[in-house]
Amino acid sequence: MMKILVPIKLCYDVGQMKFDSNTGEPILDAVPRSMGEADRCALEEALKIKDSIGGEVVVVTIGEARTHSKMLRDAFAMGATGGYLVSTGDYDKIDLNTVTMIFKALVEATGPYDLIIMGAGSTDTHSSLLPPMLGAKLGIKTVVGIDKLEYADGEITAVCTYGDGSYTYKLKPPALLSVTSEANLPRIPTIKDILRAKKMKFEELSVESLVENIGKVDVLGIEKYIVPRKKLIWEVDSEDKLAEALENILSVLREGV
Amino acid sequence: MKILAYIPDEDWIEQILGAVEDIEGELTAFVLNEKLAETAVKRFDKVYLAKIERFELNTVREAVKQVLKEYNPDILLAPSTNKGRAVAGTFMGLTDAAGVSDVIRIELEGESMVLERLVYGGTAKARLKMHPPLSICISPGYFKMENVLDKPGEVIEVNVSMPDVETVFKPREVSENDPTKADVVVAAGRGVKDEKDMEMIKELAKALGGAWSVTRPLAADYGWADSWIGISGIVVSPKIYIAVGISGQPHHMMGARNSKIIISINKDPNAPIFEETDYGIVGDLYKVIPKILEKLREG
Repeated sequence: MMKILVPIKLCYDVGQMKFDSNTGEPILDAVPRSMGEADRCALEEALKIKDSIGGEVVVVTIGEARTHSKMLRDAFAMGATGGYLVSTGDYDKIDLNTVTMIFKALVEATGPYDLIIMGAGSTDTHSSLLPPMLGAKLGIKTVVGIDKLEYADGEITAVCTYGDGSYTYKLKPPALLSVTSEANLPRIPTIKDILRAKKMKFEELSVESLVENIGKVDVLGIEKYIVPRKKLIWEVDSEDKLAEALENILSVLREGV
Repeated sequence: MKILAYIPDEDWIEQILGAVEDIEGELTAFVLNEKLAETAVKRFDKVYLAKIERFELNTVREAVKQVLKEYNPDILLAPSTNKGRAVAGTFMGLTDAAGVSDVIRIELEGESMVLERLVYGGTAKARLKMHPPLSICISPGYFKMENVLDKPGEVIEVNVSMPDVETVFKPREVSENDPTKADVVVAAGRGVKDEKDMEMIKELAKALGGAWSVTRPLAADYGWADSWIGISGIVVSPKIYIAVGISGQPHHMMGARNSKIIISINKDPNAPIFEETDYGIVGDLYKVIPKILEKLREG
């Protein structure tokens, strides 16, 4: 029997980002949000362990019921057995230290957990700093960026790919593990699962009940990132046009090489 | 200011130094092997060496704790790579320092720092005002110190505890094909229909004296390559990037956007890659690539 915590984040679909054509600022209201890709893989890993040896899989997110309850229900439909919503008015600007302290306080209030499994990085801000921070803050063994995770006979085997090669770590719980979106193909809930999840409830906690100080990131501005490009594009619908395009491109290649 | 830089390998020394070129202060490095310490000591005032042969975060965490007993930096610098982010996050968790990754610009503003970082899959940049103590992970390819001067430093060895996590390391196979170091990178996307067609991509890379790579589906889903270019893969910044049959999704472009010149070949005129292209051909890659190869052979 294992008790596993899976922190999840509601992320913007960066493939559908829209920007104001005058100011260059993102129009975030127009961008769909869903559970982070790697978070979903983390949940899948937790559920696989629960399926094989039994236990609880508890999800937690920071946000507002209005925007985040659907994601919690998605997690319930996948198989999470319980969930917490830490509600705050302005999640986007809360700094990483506060997020870490919120999760630490939640672990202390609702734990102990045998494992904390989380996405290595979020789909939208992708900093990958939270798992090593939380691991250090909790003082538990931590492995980050896991591409392949196995749990058997009380032992975790985690395979990670870093720049210089592949690392295989073997360790025993308690531990914090962060998995990449390469780790698995998360399960897709059935209609029955979705209906069952609708009846499940999550517990709402206020951010103030967990941490005293709320630090904010001082954002001076966000705008579309544009690297100026020449944008010389040839539509090659004839041999002549292809020849013209190739001549130009070959001169760039010869110059560059 | 006191700066502590985690240097994972020699290639990062110039980039890390470039990032803090305009900041006056004491420059200290944190490295995990002796050979690197010998190189770093010529560039930094001090080098903390923790002999950890195989990277293991919990052992690294204990070493960072040892360093922090002696040295309290205002800024921790690290690369925005798996290991760099892991060390930076560990430092943040141990010290309550603030932190940010994917940084492409650093400015000092009085006691504060104004940092530009990539967000939303690299489609946007955010300007943030932050105060030390602070951890900054820099993006690959954005900083470089041109004139690195030798200065005599000292190496301080840090005691390393025995890890209780068993670690097996399999080094990446040394290959002549290294897109992170090549001046020209030819990358294939889903427009390339069959694994055998990768030969054409590799031949073009070879003809240009460059390296080849792929987008994530071709590596992760089809297994045509061991690595891919993108946010979850490798980041390249060559002089010339040739995108063959690549649509230009944000997660891929974050790994390629810092290329000097981008050349694209795609049959879809509406492919987002053309918004980020210097020279583009809207056409069938199966007609265009053989023609380029033919012309290159002609000289």
